[in-house]
Amino acid sequence: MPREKEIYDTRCHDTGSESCPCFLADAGQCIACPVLRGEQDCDACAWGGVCVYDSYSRGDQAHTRRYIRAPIKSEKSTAAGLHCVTVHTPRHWSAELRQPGSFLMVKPPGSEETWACPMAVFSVASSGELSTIVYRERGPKTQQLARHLKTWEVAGPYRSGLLGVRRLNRAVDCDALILTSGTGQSLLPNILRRLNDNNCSVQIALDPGMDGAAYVVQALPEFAGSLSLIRLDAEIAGCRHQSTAGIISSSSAPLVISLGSDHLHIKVGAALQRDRLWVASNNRIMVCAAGWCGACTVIRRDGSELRGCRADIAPEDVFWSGDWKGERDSR
Amino acid sequence: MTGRTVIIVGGGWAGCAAALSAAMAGAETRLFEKTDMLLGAGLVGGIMRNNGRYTAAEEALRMGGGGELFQATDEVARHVDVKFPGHSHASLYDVAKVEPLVREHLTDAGVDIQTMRRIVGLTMNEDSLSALVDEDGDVILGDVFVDATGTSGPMGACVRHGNGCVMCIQRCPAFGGRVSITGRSGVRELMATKGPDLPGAMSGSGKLNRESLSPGLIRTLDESGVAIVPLPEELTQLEKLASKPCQQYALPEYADNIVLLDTGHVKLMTSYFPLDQLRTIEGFENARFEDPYAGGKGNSIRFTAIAPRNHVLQVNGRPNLFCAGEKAGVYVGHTEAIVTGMLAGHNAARYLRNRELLEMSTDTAIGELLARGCEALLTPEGLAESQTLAGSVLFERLRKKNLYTTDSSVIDERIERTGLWRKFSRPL
Repeated sequence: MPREKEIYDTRCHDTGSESCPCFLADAGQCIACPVLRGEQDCDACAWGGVCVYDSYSRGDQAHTRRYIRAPIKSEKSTAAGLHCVTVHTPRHWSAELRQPGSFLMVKPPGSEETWACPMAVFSVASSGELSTIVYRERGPKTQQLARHLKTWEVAGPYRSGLLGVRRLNRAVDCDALILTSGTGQSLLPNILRRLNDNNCSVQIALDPGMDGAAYVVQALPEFAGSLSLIRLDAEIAGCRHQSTAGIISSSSAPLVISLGSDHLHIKVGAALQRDRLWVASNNRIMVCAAGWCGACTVIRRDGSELRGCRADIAPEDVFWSGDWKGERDSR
Repeated sequence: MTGRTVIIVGGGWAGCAAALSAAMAGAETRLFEKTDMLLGAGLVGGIMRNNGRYTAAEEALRMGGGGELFQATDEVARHVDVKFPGHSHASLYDVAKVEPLVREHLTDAGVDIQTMRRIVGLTMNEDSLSALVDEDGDVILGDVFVDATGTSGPMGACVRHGNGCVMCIQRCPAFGGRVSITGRSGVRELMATKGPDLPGAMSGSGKLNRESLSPGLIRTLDESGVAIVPLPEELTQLEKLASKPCQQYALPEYADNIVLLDTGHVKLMTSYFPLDQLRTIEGFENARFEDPYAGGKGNSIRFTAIAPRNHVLQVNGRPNLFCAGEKAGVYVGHTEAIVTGMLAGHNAARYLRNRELLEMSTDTAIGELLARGCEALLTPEGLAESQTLAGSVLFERLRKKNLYTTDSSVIDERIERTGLWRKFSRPL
């Protein structure tokens, strides 16, 4: 049966995981379970393969991810403040860290959790024990990280690095257009591996960003033919200038993935027609990445609030104030 | 899609009957079922034609539409004209053979059957439904909808109102829990009660694995379809009768004895039975459950989400949404599901064609079932009373109104007189 349209139902990335039920259940704000939110029945359950109410009522403990020490194996920096850091991470994290949208929370050793930053994992070594992170030094948090180059503390793996990630995972034998800028390219390796496994052909428009570093190119030589260096919506030496809307309209790929700032996402959302599926990097500010601090809160079109660090939601649920024309949905 | 489509959600007996009825009325019909098989609880059921159900089955066969499903259950009956406590002239269909046969009936009628497609949401246009959304986010357009999602489970309801998930035939952990279309459309649903502390009700029977019983018991079941084994006094189960939805089996005989029926599996006519106790009884030393797998611990919870509706099975406040089966009342049994499905599917097709919706005559057993089930939704007392043609209050009512009969000529005359002869098998 042909797909008429698609609506992305909200779920929780952590349902059934080692981090479920979490203390959002205690707080009456479980993303998955309407009963734990105080509703009368199960009808609005965001089913993720297990009954959270069942686990909770059996007294399963709320789990939070704990920070562990992660010795740094190597570090390279550029003058423009770009850092490539390889840290030791547990081998049993490796499979999850290779999933599209996976990330770690990283903080300087001994610091409060308020110093933690979400960091996409650029690559995981074949041994499974080394993870590479590329980040740009910008504010106080990343500056602090750059000053501690022997050991970090890391927690994870987290799963909510991509909005609409199920669209990406379900895409088989289809064309995908990826627009990426700046350190958004750190999300590319895991995404490209998944698309390649699913026999999807890819066209990548890469805007190197402020310091002009297209570091992903060297890491992914097999995708060089699919990749064009461009400068989105502005002039920059050595790059072709193209408008975001122009790139989108010149491609017929049904899957469009934007990896960059919210500014990029808003432009992509405005240029997309409803019949194309959209995936975007999740740029919500995260401090605890567990749902309690509220920094990542997403306010949806219907006024409801969700924790962006745990909720598996579509980009149009976040960027709804632009020209994106979502359907009225009862969920 | 063409824009003239009846969408049925839930592939149990009610949904199958609704699909057949809508398709035979000439509507393009699509049926969505979350699991990999049709019939839902009908896959582990099997009791047909006992008491007033005989009359209803014969009426439905004469009306056509989904009524043909009774031919299917007759065709695969393991035993006919069976008597067991409180029940006469029952037939027991073979649960291992019935589903493929029903699927064939539906396919032949042109129903587009979509299994393993769980509907989780919908879109609305004012008070009407405009589309459904499945678990993968696909949007399914339709013009009129039938909610036949039942009322059993999901896991959360079984945890709260029962003894937890017992791994019944709904298989929620594998396929996801039931999602009510009525509830998702914003209609406040009703919950049946068995008293202030007993919301919902526990399914009234489980199934034992045949091969796990003694040769003597199997021989008795093969010969007569029924085996009645007296319980030791310490194992009698009067307190369990209170929680059963099947009031036709809430008789002392079922508390004092183990009543077994041969439906392919061995139907154990009690909600659950602790396995260590069961195995102390002669013939049951090696017993194990077939459905639910944890039948020693509990059974599925039902009737927690009934749609408020009118006499033509239209959900209140939702003009293009109809309901059938347990969704339409505190209805117990496959026969009850089929006949409500017949009317819901037929009226869905009528709604498409802008035809007046059909209200079933209360001069028939089926009409009486539908009318009484509707009235019962209006009061707390009604919600505490299960509606079944096979016993309890409704069967008494059928007797009083002389609607219960096994006489073919009486049923012929009744269906002719009420203008329902082949009513559901003709295109509109």
